[in-house]
Amino acid sequence: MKTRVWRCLGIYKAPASHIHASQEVLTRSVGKKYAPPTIRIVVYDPPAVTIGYFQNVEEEVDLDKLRELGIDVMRRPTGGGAVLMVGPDGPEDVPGWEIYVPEDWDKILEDIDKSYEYLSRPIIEFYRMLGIKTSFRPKNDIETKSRKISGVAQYREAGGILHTGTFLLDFDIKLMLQVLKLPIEKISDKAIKSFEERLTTVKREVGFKPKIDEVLELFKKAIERTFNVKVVDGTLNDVERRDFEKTLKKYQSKEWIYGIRPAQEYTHIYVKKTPGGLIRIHVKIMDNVLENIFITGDFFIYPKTALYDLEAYLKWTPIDEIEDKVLEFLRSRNVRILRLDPQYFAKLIYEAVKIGKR
Amino acid sequence: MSSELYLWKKGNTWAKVEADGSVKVGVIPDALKRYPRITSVRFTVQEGQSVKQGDKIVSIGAGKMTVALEAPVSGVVARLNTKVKTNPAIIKHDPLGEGWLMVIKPTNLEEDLKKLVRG
Repeated sequence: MKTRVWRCLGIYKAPASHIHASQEVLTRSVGKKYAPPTIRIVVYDPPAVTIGYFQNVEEEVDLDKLRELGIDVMRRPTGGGAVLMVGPDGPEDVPGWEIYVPEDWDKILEDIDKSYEYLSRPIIEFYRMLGIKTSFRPKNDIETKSRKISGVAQYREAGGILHTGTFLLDFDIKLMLQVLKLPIEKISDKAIKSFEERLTTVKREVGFKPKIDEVLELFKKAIERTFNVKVVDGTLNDVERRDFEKTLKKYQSKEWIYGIRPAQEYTHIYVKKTPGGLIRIHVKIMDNVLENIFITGDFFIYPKTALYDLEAYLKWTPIDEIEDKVLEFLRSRNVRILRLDPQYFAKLIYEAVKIGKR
Repeated sequence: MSSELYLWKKGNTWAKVEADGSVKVGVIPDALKRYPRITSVRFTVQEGQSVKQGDKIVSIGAGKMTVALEAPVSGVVARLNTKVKTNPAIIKHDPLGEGWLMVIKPTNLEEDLKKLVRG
């Protein structure tokens, strides 16, 4: 039977190592039914950059710059790319949200793709209560008007699921470009504009940002409404406290942060003059999978936002499937590119990915 | 010794007792149905390391998701299948064959098998 009373652990303001060690602990605990489904808001103090479980820290962030700015770096248990967890007014601008449920809480959770959409519904409700209409964009984003407003990732262990992401209340794109190694040529107004077209924040959408206490209250309400449950304030239990002490040591070790490297990784910028205009394709590849892609240039694509949706759609696709995926996307959305054949465009993207391979 | 398949369902792994008494470990094919693809693999144990039934031994990933898999039996890790690290797709394509994960020299097999179900 579904547990209808959920636990809320409030706002956890802590170093990144504590946040991610406890994520692992809570996933296990909820999976083994030592605790009910649980939610939490986290704030990184000191500010941090987190990297995905399988990433190589040296390839993802400028470690000297982070040290100079007093920003921490930590590997997450979840996959995905590097994320800056601080905004113009501090880490409360980019709080993390967390939902912990056992895999058997609902049958839909057995299907990974459907579980992403299902467990993201409270986040869409959260933004709705703030006056922002958002939707889930496959594979891992919540977007408004084709701009990402929250990323989403999962970690599964011992029958438990952690479904997590960030509330982008306010964000500092320039700082992100300084500390993350993204596939861009240089930090310029053009690069900043390019990210502004793809990312947005609560402040930008509605002109204000809620305080962290309000974020927690809205999040609790969104969970209750979406899943028809009651959220009750709680604390860690004894099993979790003991497990945390052990797990924290792993997250504080150099081996955890620096010891993981993918078998193969590269970034590449591919430029091509075409009958439709100049096309620049920036790619980042990890283990034969497209980790990140930005497509820019002076070509015309209709609707314009289709480009950002295509980039989101292609993320984490094995490179051999890319050409087919591009064609499938262009056809299903009826996307038009001026003076460019869809097959030609799909081939260009595939070439951009393949050509950088070493 | 039986070469039957035993399943540690909550840890998503299978165990097969080999003729020499060692135990081959892999991912349960049914569990793999949930994942459209596997793109990354990381062993969280090394050869020579002792593990207990239920310990995390491997993490598999696809995009922004990672899943921790557990040891179906206790013992010492004798061999890792490094092929799955360079070609994670074989876990999905051939989970009972080429896509095996590791070999464990069991230390408590009789008791451990009681907690597994026959596949």
